[in-house]
Amino acid sequence: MTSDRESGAHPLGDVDRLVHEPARLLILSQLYVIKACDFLFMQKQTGLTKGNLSSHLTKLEDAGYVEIIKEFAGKRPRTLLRLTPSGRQAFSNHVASLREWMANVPNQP
Amino acid sequence: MSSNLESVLGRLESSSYRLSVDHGLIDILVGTVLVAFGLMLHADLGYMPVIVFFVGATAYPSARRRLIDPRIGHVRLHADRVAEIKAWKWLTFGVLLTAIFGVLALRALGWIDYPESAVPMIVTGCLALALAIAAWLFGIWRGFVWAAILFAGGVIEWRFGLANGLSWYFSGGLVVLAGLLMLARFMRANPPDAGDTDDV
Repeated sequence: MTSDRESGAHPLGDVDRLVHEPARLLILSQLYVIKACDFLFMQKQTGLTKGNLSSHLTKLEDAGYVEIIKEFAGKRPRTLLRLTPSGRQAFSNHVASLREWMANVPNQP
Repeated sequence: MSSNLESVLGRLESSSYRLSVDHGLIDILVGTVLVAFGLMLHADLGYMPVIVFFVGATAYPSARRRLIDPRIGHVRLHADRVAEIKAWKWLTFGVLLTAIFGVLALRALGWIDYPESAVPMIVTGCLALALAIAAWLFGIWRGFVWAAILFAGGVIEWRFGLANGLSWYFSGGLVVLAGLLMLARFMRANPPDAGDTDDV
Protein backbone atom coordinates (compact mmCIF):
# COMPACT_ATOMS: atom_id res chain seq x y z
CA MET A 1 0.00 0.00 0.00
CA THR A 2 1.36 3.43 -0.91
CA SER A 3 0.86 6.52 1.20
CA ASP A 4 -0.95 9.57 -0.17
CA ARG A 5 2.34 11.39 -0.47
CA GLU A 6 3.92 8.53 -2.41
CA SER A 7 0.90 8.24 -4.68
CA GLY A 8 0.89 12.01 -5.21
CA ALA A 9 -2.65 12.48 -3.90
CA HIS A 10 -3.03 15.40 -1.51
CA PRO A 11 -5.19 14.66 1.55
CA LEU A 12 -7.16 17.86 0.86
CA GLY A 13 -7.47 17.06 -2.85
CA ASP A 14 -10.90 15.54 -2.53
CA VAL A 15 -12.25 18.09 -0.06
CA ASP A 16 -15.85 19.13 -0.76
CA ARG A 17 -15.43 22.75 -1.82
CA LEU A 18 -19.09 23.43 -1.33
CA VAL A 19 -18.67 22.63 2.36
CA HIS A 20 -15.20 24.13 2.71
CA GLU A 21 -16.26 27.74 2.00
CA PRO A 22 -16.16 29.54 5.41
CA ALA A 23 -19.72 30.93 5.42
CA ARG A 24 -21.21 27.62 4.32
CA LEU A 25 -19.04 25.74 6.81
CA LEU A 26 -20.41 28.01 9.53
CA ILE A 27 -23.99 27.37 8.40
CA LEU A 28 -23.44 23.60 8.30
CA SER A 29 -21.68 23.63 11.71
CA GLN A 30 -24.62 25.50 13.20
CA LEU A 31 -27.17 23.13 11.70
CA TYR A 32 -25.07 20.13 12.76
CA VAL A 33 -25.45 20.94 16.47
CA ILE A 34 -29.21 21.62 16.46
CA LYS A 35 -32.30 19.95 15.03
CA ALA A 36 -33.55 22.94 13.03
CA CYS A 37 -33.75 26.71 13.13
CA ASP A 38 -35.34 29.50 11.18
CA PHE A 39 -33.68 31.98 8.85
CA LEU A 40 -33.55 34.76 11.45
CA PHE A 41 -31.86 32.57 14.07
CA MET A 42 -29.26 31.47 11.51
CA GLN A 43 -28.66 35.09 10.55
CA LYS A 44 -28.12 36.03 14.22
CA GLN A 45 -25.78 33.12 14.83
CA THR A 46 -23.67 33.51 11.71
CA GLY A 47 -23.70 37.31 11.40
CA LEU A 48 -24.29 37.00 7.64
CA THR A 49 -26.47 39.47 5.76
CA LYS A 50 -29.84 38.29 4.46
CA GLY A 51 -28.70 38.25 0.85
CA ASN A 52 -25.47 36.45 1.59
CA LEU A 53 -27.13 33.86 3.80
CA SER A 54 -29.88 33.33 1.28
CA SER A 55 -27.39 32.75 -1.54
CA HIS A 56 -25.35 30.22 0.49
CA LEU A 57 -28.50 28.41 1.59
CA THR A 58 -29.67 28.11 -1.99
CA LYS A 59 -26.34 26.49 -2.95
CA LEU A 60 -26.55 24.09 -0.01
CA GLU A 61 -30.16 23.27 -0.85
CA ASP A 62 -29.29 22.61 -4.50
CA ALA A 63 -26.58 20.22 -3.34
CA GLY A 64 -29.12 18.43 -1.15
CA TYR A 65 -27.26 19.30 2.06
CA VAL A 66 -29.89 21.56 3.59
CA GLU A 67 -33.64 21.23 3.62
CA ILE A 68 -35.60 24.49 3.51
CA ILE A 69 -39.13 24.19 4.82
CA LYS A 70 -41.70 26.95 4.50
CA GLU A 71 -44.22 27.01 7.32
CA PHE A 72 -46.39 29.37 9.30
CA ALA A 73 -45.86 30.24 12.97
CA GLY A 74 -49.28 31.67 13.75
CA LYS A 75 -49.77 34.19 10.95
CA ARG A 76 -46.07 34.78 10.29
CA PRO A 77 -44.31 32.88 7.55
CA ARG A 78 -41.24 31.03 8.77
CA THR A 79 -38.38 29.52 6.79
CA LEU A 80 -37.10 26.53 8.69
CA LEU A 81 -33.63 25.16 7.92
CA ARG A 82 -32.54 21.61 8.58
CA LEU A 83 -29.49 19.54 7.71
CA THR A 84 -30.34 16.57 5.47
CA PRO A 85 -28.71 13.17 6.11
CA SER A 86 -26.40 13.75 3.13
CA GLY A 87 -25.53 17.21 4.49
CA ARG A 88 -24.69 15.65 7.85
CA GLN A 89 -22.56 13.06 6.08
CA ALA A 90 -20.81 15.72 3.96
CA PHE A 91 -20.01 17.76 7.06
CA SER A 92 -18.68 14.68 8.90
CA ASN A 93 -16.56 13.72 5.88
CA HIS A 94 -15.16 17.22 5.67
CA VAL A 95 -14.27 17.22 9.36
CA ALA A 96 -12.62 13.81 8.94
CA SER A 97 -10.56 15.12 5.98
CA LEU A 98 -9.40 18.13 7.98
CA ARG A 99 -8.49 15.92 10.93
CA GLU A 100 -6.50 13.61 8.73
CA TRP A 101 -4.72 16.53 7.13
CA MET A 102 -3.97 18.17 10.48
CA ALA A 103 -2.66 14.89 11.90
CA ASN A 104 0.07 14.96 9.24
CA VAL A 105 1.09 18.56 9.87
CA PRO A 106 4.31 18.66 11.92
CA ASN A 107 4.09 20.49 15.25
CA GLN A 108 7.38 22.34 14.74
CA PRO A 109 8.08 24.54 11.69
CA MET B 1 -7.51 19.62 16.30
CA SER B 2 -10.25 17.17 17.30
CA SER B 3 -10.61 18.59 20.77
CA ASN B 4 -10.62 22.11 19.32
CA LEU B 5 -13.31 21.10 16.87
CA GLU B 6 -15.43 19.41 19.56
CA SER B 7 -15.03 22.56 21.61
CA VAL B 8 -16.09 24.81 18.70
CA LEU B 9 -19.16 22.64 18.02
CA GLY B 10 -19.90 22.49 21.75
CA ARG B 11 -19.70 26.28 21.97
CA LEU B 12 -22.02 26.63 18.97
CA GLU B 13 -24.57 24.32 20.57
CA SER B 14 -24.23 26.08 23.88
CA SER B 15 -24.62 29.53 22.31
CA SER B 16 -27.75 28.32 20.48
CA TYR B 17 -29.16 27.14 23.79
CA ARG B 18 -28.10 30.29 25.67
CA LEU B 19 -29.59 32.60 23.05
CA SER B 20 -32.90 30.83 23.63
CA VAL B 21 -32.86 31.24 27.46
CA ASP B 22 -31.03 34.52 28.19
CA HIS B 23 -33.89 36.95 27.70
CA GLY B 24 -35.37 37.45 31.17
CA LEU B 25 -38.74 35.76 30.62
CA ILE B 26 -37.69 32.76 32.73
CA ASP B 27 -36.65 35.08 35.57
CA ILE B 28 -40.00 36.88 35.43
CA LEU B 29 -41.79 33.51 35.63
CA VAL B 30 -39.63 32.24 38.53
CA GLY B 31 -39.99 35.54 40.40
CA THR B 32 -43.76 35.53 39.98
CA VAL B 33 -43.94 31.98 41.32
CA LEU B 34 -41.87 33.07 44.36
CA VAL B 35 -44.23 36.01 45.00
CA ALA B 36 -47.15 33.57 44.71
CA PHE B 37 -45.51 31.38 47.39
CA GLY B 38 -45.24 34.55 49.50
CA LEU B 39 -48.98 35.13 49.07
CA MET B 40 -49.61 31.53 50.07
CA LEU B 41 -47.60 31.87 53.28
CA HIS B 42 -48.43 35.48 54.17
CA ALA B 43 -52.03 35.92 53.02
CA ASP B 44 -52.88 32.22 53.40
CA LEU B 45 -53.81 31.92 49.71
CA GLY B 46 -52.82 28.28 49.28
CA TYR B 47 -54.13 28.05 45.73
CA MET B 48 -52.02 30.99 44.49
CA PRO B 49 -48.83 29.10 43.47
CA VAL B 50 -50.93 26.54 41.54
CA ILE B 51 -52.78 29.31 39.66
CA VAL B 52 -49.55 31.20 38.93
CA PHE B 53 -47.82 28.01 37.82
CA PHE B 54 -50.55 27.10 35.34
CA VAL B 55 -51.07 30.67 34.09
CA GLY B 56 -47.28 31.02 33.75
CA ALA B 57 -46.93 27.71 31.91
CA THR B 58 -49.58 28.89 29.43
CA ALA B 59 -48.40 32.50 29.15
CA TYR B 60 -44.67 31.71 28.79
CA PRO B 61 -44.81 30.08 25.31
CA SER B 62 -47.14 32.80 24.09
CA ALA B 63 -44.88 35.59 25.45
CA ARG B 64 -41.91 33.84 23.88
CA ARG B 65 -43.63 33.69 20.51
CA ARG B 66 -44.59 37.36 20.63
CA LEU B 67 -41.49 38.91 22.23
CA ILE B 68 -38.51 36.62 21.70
CA ASP B 69 -38.95 34.73 18.41
CA PRO B 70 -39.46 37.86 16.24
CA ARG B 71 -36.14 39.14 17.61
CA ILE B 72 -33.79 36.18 17.61
CA GLY B 73 -35.65 33.64 15.56
CA HIS B 74 -36.64 30.12 16.39
CA VAL B 75 -34.42 27.14 17.19
CA ARG B 76 -35.22 23.49 17.79
CA LEU B 77 -32.58 21.63 19.74
CA HIS B 78 -31.65 18.00 19.11
CA ALA B 79 -34.01 15.39 20.57
CA ASP B 80 -31.38 14.13 23.05
CA ARG B 81 -30.83 17.69 24.33
CA VAL B 82 -34.61 18.19 24.68
CA ALA B 83 -34.87 14.86 26.55
CA GLU B 84 -31.99 15.93 28.79
CA ILE B 85 -33.73 19.22 29.62
CA LYS B 86 -36.98 17.38 30.39
CA ALA B 87 -35.08 14.98 32.69
CA TRP B 88 -33.47 17.92 34.47
CA LYS B 89 -36.89 19.50 35.09
CA TRP B 90 -38.16 16.28 36.67
CA LEU B 91 -34.96 15.89 38.67
CA THR B 92 -35.31 19.43 40.07
CA PHE B 93 -38.97 18.84 40.92
CA GLY B 94 -38.06 15.50 42.52
CA VAL B 95 -35.31 17.07 44.63
CA LEU B 96 -37.72 19.78 45.78
CA LEU B 97 -40.46 17.35 46.82
CA THR B 98 -38.02 14.87 48.39
CA ALA B 99 -36.30 17.63 50.37
CA ILE B 100 -39.54 19.15 51.69
CA PHE B 101 -41.32 15.91 52.52
CA GLY B 102 -38.07 14.30 53.71
CA VAL B 103 -37.40 17.03 56.27
CA LEU B 104 -41.03 17.05 57.43
CA ALA B 105 -41.18 13.25 57.60
CA LEU B 106 -37.91 13.00 59.58
CA ARG B 107 -39.42 15.36 62.15
CA ALA B 108 -42.66 13.38 62.28
CA LEU B 109 -40.63 10.21 62.86
CA GLY B 110 -38.75 11.94 65.67
CA TRP B 111 -35.36 11.53 63.98
CA ILE B 112 -34.72 15.26 63.90
CA ASP B 113 -36.27 18.11 65.84
CA TYR B 114 -36.88 21.74 65.05
CA PRO B 115 -39.46 24.28 66.22
CA GLU B 116 -42.71 24.73 64.29
CA SER B 117 -41.66 28.32 63.53
CA ALA B 118 -38.72 27.02 61.50
CA VAL B 119 -40.92 25.15 59.00
CA PRO B 120 -41.31 28.10 56.53
CA MET B 121 -37.55 28.65 56.65
CA ILE B 122 -36.94 24.95 55.94
CA VAL B 123 -39.39 25.00 53.02
CA THR B 124 -37.60 28.13 51.75
CA GLY B 125 -34.26 26.32 52.07
CA CYS B 126 -35.59 23.34 50.10
CA LEU B 127 -36.83 25.60 47.30
CA ALA B 128 -33.53 27.49 47.29
CA LEU B 129 -31.75 24.13 46.97
CA ALA B 130 -33.99 23.12 44.05
CA LEU B 131 -33.40 26.52 42.42
CA ALA B 132 -29.63 26.12 42.80
CA ILE B 133 -29.74 22.61 41.33
CA ALA B 134 -31.83 23.88 38.40
CA ALA B 135 -29.34 26.75 37.88
CA TRP B 136 -26.48 24.25 37.78
CA LEU B 137 -28.22 21.76 35.47
CA PHE B 138 -29.46 24.39 33.01
CA GLY B 139 -26.25 26.44 33.18
CA ILE B 140 -28.21 29.58 34.16
CA TRP B 141 -25.70 30.87 36.69
CA ARG B 142 -27.75 33.81 37.95
CA GLY B 143 -30.09 31.16 39.43
CA PHE B 144 -27.47 30.64 42.19
CA VAL B 145 -27.87 34.30 43.17
CA TRP B 146 -31.67 33.93 43.24
CA ALA B 147 -31.30 30.80 45.40
CA ALA B 148 -28.88 32.56 47.78
CA ILE B 149 -31.18 35.62 48.11
CA LEU B 150 -34.21 33.38 48.72
CA PHE B 151 -32.39 31.34 51.38
CA ALA B 152 -30.89 34.42 53.08
CA GLY B 153 -34.36 36.03 53.13
CA GLY B 154 -35.84 32.88 54.69
CA VAL B 155 -33.17 32.82 57.42
CA ILE B 156 -33.60 36.55 58.18
CA GLU B 157 -37.39 36.18 58.27
CA TRP B 158 -37.14 33.28 60.73
CA ARG B 159 -34.31 34.76 62.84
CA PHE B 160 -36.04 38.12 63.33
CA GLY B 161 -39.54 36.67 63.63
CA LEU B 162 -40.89 38.54 60.59
CA ALA B 163 -44.26 37.61 59.12
CA ASN B 164 -44.13 34.46 57.00
CA GLY B 165 -43.85 35.12 53.30
CA LEU B 166 -42.21 38.56 53.47
CA SER B 167 -38.86 37.20 52.29
CA TRP B 168 -40.64 35.51 49.36
CA TYR B 169 -42.17 38.83 48.30
CA PHE B 170 -38.75 40.43 48.54
CA SER B 171 -36.77 37.77 46.68
CA GLY B 172 -39.56 37.15 44.13
CA GLY B 173 -39.88 40.88 43.48
CA LEU B 174 -36.13 41.15 43.04
CA VAL B 175 -36.06 38.27 40.55
CA VAL B 176 -39.01 39.76 38.59
CA LEU B 177 -37.27 43.15 38.53
CA ALA B 178 -34.01 41.60 37.30
CA GLY B 179 -35.99 39.66 34.68
CA LEU B 180 -37.71 42.84 33.48
CA LEU B 181 -34.38 44.66 33.22
CA MET B 182 -32.88 41.73 31.34
CA LEU B 183 -35.88 41.59 29.00
CA ALA B 184 -35.66 45.36 28.35
CA ARG B 185 -31.94 45.04 27.57
CA PHE B 186 -32.59 42.02 25.36
CA MET B 187 -35.32 43.85 23.44
CA ARG B 188 -33.10 46.89 22.96
CA ALA B 189 -30.21 44.77 21.75
CA ASN B 190 -32.39 42.69 19.44
CA PRO B 191 -34.94 44.83 17.60
CA PRO B 192 -37.66 42.85 15.84
CA ASP B 193 -36.80 41.69 12.36
CA ALA B 194 -38.26 44.34 10.05
CA GLY B 195 -38.54 42.27 6.92
CA ASP B 196 -40.30 39.10 6.02
CA THR B 197 -38.52 36.03 7.34
CA ASP B 198 -39.47 34.19 4.18
CA ASP B 199 -36.14 34.89 2.54
CA VAL B 200 -34.88 31.85 0.67
